[in-house]
Amino acid sequence: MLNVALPKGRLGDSVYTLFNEIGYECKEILSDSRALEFTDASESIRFLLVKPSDVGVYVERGAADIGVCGSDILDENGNHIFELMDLHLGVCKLAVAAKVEYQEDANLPLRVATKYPNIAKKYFESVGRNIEIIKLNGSIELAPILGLSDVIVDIVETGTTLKENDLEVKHKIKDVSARLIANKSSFQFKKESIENIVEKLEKNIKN
Amino acid sequence: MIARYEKLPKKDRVPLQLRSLYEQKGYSKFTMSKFESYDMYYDNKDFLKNDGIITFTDFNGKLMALKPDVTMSIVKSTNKNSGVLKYYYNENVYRAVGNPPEYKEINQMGLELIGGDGIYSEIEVIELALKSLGKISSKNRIVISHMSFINLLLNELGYSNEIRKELVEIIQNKKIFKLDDMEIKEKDKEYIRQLVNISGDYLKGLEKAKKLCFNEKMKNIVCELEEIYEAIKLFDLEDNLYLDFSIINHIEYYNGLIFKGYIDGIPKAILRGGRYDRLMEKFNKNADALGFAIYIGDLERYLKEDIDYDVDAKLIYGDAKSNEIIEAMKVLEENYLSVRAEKVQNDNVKAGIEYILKNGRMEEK
Repeated sequence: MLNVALPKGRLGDSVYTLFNEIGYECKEILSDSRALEFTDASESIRFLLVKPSDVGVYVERGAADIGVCGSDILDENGNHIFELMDLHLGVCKLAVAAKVEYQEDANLPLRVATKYPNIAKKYFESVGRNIEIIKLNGSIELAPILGLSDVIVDIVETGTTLKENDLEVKHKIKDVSARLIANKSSFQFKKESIENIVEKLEKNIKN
Repeated sequence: MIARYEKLPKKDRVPLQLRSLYEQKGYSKFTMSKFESYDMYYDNKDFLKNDGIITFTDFNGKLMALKPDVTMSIVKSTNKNSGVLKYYYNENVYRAVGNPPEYKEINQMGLELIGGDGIYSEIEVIELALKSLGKISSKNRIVISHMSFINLLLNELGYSNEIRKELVEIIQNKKIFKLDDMEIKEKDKEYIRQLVNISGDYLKGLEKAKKLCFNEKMKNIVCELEEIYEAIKLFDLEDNLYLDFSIINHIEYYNGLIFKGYIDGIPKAILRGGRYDRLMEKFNKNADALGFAIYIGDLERYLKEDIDYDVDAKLIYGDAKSNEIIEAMKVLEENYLSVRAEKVQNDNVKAGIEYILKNGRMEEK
């Protein structure tokens, strides 16, 4: 039995659809049930519905053998796992954004509001910029509007949310997508089942 | 009743079994003191990966450290005239782990073979690593890798440090898909893919590794790995030996064979080891050095056995006189491994059977 951690929400639904397409069916997942674990019809996979930012923890600690997690979260948390596949889902980018009319003062440390303090620190270090991190957990776009920060580091999909808040992307940091990750110990002992799934997913994605 | 070894809980038996395993091979016990001057560790912090060292000042204002690692202590204690050293140890080390850092006491049990020579030393260490895991569970594996092989391959491909760092990350995390976007030659991408695919079956892995040999040095490493396999076959343990180059460690310390040990059901590697001649060089103690450490702390949860009760028997003595209690306890201790005397009944400690002492007589409850 393979334990698979899925992120709750839109991404998890898309991932479940993928698994369904490669032959693992579990209709209850898409229902309104409040349950958090579901076993598929063939009883070979157990899906665990997990908070997206927690998937890496579940997999690293072996509570799940494999899981699907955004590369933004993996980069931020630095989980020790194998990153086996890019699923090309949940595609977006990590970027520095600010008010459209924002002018940077290079003499002052830059105040950066973000959910991703590690990624932000690393990026600004690479461009040699001194910063002050303001860690927030949501509605990051508010920060520059209220003068809480100069810029934000956040994920951007279509850019609509930024636009609606009079913000724009100033620098792209990196692309983000959902990855299939595996626990390093499970990879040793459940290698065949894991590689079987990887192969089927790869074939499906190619088509 | 005399307490017997077999009655010890598994978590206490395993370290004793390991101790006897190492002593049978002529390893002697190394004991270390708990504190050390901090400057020794300052220059080699990377050896501990991202774990921090717990420090304090002594009465003279000198910065001291709670020892974070046994291997470093052993290395420091060797000198040119030491000859061949075969030590095993079972010690607690102290580190600040995680983000934010938490102070942790970590139980390390392992061994070091210093001043060894040639391939037999490596075989002996791997044999002991396999047998160590075997004492814990038959569902175990030792996964072998080799720092030199990886480095020689990367040297041969010859890219900038930045690209090399990315390639190391790809190999370490098996992120082959990342190669697609990289600005390197297609045939080089293929070599990396093949290296990452060496993941599992030892002999099949060796065949793949042979195809990646660009020079004599790499071929020699493959021979070394082959010889280890053939030797381990003589112990009938070759089925637990695997090959996987995703195991990478700091090149400044580890320059050759490295390996990790896994147990089915434990999410992290509980055994880590390898050849660390370079660490010896850093301490100016040039010598062959091999060893491994087992993280017993990570095992405890796994080795916990379900027991129905905490003691075999209880004696509830109420108002009985001391001499009556002592006589009753003597009788019970003849028949039970563990007996607990209590004045009144209490449910915190569960017993297999309870006796009440009343009017000089013992009655089963």
